[in-house]
Amino acid sequence: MAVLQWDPASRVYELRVASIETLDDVAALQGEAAVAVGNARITVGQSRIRVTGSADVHAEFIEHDGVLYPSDFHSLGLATAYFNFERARAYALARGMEPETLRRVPFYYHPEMYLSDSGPDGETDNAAWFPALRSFLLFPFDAFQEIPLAMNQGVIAHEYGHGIFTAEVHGGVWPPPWLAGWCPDGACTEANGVRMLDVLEEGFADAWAVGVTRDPWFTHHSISALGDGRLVAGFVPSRHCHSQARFEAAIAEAADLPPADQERYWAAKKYEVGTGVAGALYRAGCVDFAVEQGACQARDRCVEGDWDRYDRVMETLLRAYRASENSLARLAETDPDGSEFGTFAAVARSIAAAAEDDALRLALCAAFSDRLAIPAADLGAACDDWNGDHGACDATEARGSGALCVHGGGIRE
Amino acid sequence: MKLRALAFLLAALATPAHAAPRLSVELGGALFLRNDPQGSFWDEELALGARAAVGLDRAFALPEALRLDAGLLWYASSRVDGTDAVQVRRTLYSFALPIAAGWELDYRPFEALRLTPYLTAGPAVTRTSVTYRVADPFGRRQGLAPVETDAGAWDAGGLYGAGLAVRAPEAPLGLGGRLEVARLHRGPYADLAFALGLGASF
Repeated sequence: MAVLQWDPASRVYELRVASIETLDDVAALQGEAAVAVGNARITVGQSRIRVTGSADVHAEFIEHDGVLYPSDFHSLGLATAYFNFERARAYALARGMEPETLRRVPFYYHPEMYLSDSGPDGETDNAAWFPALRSFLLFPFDAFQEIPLAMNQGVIAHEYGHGIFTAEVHGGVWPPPWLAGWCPDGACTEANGVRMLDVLEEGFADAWAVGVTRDPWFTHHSISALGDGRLVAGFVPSRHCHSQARFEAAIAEAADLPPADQERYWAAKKYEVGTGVAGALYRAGCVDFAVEQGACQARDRCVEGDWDRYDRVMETLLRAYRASENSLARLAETDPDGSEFGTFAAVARSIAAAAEDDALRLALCAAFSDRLAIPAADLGAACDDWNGDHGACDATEARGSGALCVHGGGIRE
Repeated sequence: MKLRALAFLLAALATPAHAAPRLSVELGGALFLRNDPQGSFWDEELALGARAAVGLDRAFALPEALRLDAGLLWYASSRVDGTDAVQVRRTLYSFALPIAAGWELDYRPFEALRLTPYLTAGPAVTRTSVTYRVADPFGRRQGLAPVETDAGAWDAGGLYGAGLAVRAPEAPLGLGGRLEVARLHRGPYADLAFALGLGASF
C-alpha cells in the first residue's frame, strides 16, 4: 500500500510503498494495530463523555502496478494513520509491550468536539490520546498546512507513547485511583505530582516518537513554527538543562496565576520541561563522549545511524513503567499526595533501577544527573557505583578538561 | 416451430419503420454524491458530462409512443484536497453505454414539449487518475523540490437509473434535454448522480 512515509535518506516525507501486516479490513482501516472511526461527534460533559454518529470509514484505493494507492486525500490520511499506528505498536512490542496492550485501539479521524455546556469546541490542528475513551483523536486541520498530524509518524508515535503510559503506569484506568488521593475533590494539595505526571507524559511520548521514527526533528515536518523547541538531539543548555528547583519555581510562578491561566501556563511548560526529560533519555541512548585532540567531544551515535542503545533505553523505560520492582506505577500508587512522584530524583531512580545492563544503567545515571541536576546521593542504589560527576549542564568548563569524557558519559572506558 | 416464430419476430423488428434513426447530442453536468471515506453519508462532487445517443425506436417497428435509444455517456470530474504540503488530485473519467427505454406521455406542456419518463441501464468503465504532491516543509528549507507521484487504474461497473427526457421537435435543432437520477460505478462504490443535459436532435 502507498502511504506517506518519512525517508531517512532524504529526511523528508514522501509517498512510498509500505507493507501493512495487521489490517483485516482494508477499506475500514481496522486491524490489530488500530480501528479507524469516522464521522464522530464527541460531547464532553461534567460527568460523562458521549460519542454519537460514529461510523466505519470507507477508504478507497486503486490498484496500480500491484500496489494499493489511496484514491483521495482522506483515504491517504486514514491509510497513513493506520500505518503509523502499526509502526508505533511494532516498536513498542519489540521493546517488550504485551500484545494485548492497546490492541485494536480506536482512532477517531477528524471528530467534532462538543462541550456539553458551551456547544462546538472547534478543536482543530491537534492530535491526542484521550484516556477516558481509550482512544486517539486526530482532529481536522485548519491553520496547520504542513504534513498533516495524522500522517506524521512521529506525532502518532508520540500519542501512542501516551497510550502506553496510561496502559502501563495507570494500569489502563483513567483516572487512576491514586489520583483521587493526590487531588481530593479536584483540588491538588501538592502540585508537584500532577505537574510531574504531565511533564513525564510529554517527555516520554517524545522519546517514543524519536525511537519509532529515528527522526529527532519529527515536529519540524508538521509544526515548523515550534522551531527546535522540542528537539532532543544536540545539546542546548537552555533547552536541555533542568532541575528540581527550576521545576518547583515554575509551579510557584503558576500558582500566582488565575486558575485558567495556570492551565495555559502548564499547557506550554509541560512540553518545555518534558523536552529536558526526553533529552536526558536521548543522551543516555545516543551520546558518547571521547577525548579527541585533547578536548572532550560528544558523538551522537544515533545521528550516525546506530540506534541500538537508544532502543535499549526505551526497553528500560517500558520496564520502569510497571514491570520493575521500583516502577513508576508502584511509585504513584504508594505516594499518598504526589510529593515523592513529583521529584526528578524519584523518577530517575525508577528508570535507572530498571536497566538490565551496567553500561546502560550508568549512562542513565549520568544523563539524569547531568540534565536534571540530580545529586548523586539522590539517585539511589542503582547509581551507587556511578562516580557522581555532573556533565555539561552544570560544569561547562569540564567539557574542555576532559572530565565529562571520563565520567560524564557514565560509561567507563 | 419456436425457431420460425423467432425468425419472424427478428424480421419484423429489423424492418425499418422510418428511413433514418434520430441522433441526439447533449452537454450537461452532474452532481455526484460519492462515498465519503470519512464515514459520513456522502461527499459532493460536480462533473461535466456529454452524451450522444441514437434513437432505435424509428429503426424498428415499435409502438409509436415507445422511445428506445442507445447512447455513449461521458463524465469528467476532478478535485484537489489537502494541506499546502500534501495535496491529492483525483480525476475521474467515466464512460457508459446506456440503453434508455421510455414511454412518451400524451401530456404535452405548452403543446410543444414531449415528455418521456424512462429507465436506463448499461455497462460503464471509469479511469481514476491520482496525483500526489508532497512538499515537506523540512525539505523545502533544504531546497528540495516537491515530489509528485501518479497512479491510475480502470474500474468496470455499470450505470442504472431513471429520468425524464424532454424534447421540442418543432424547435430549431430539435431542442431536447433530460433530468436523470442514476447510480454509476466509478470505483469500489456506486455513486448517486443527479444529471442535467441539454442538446439537440437530428
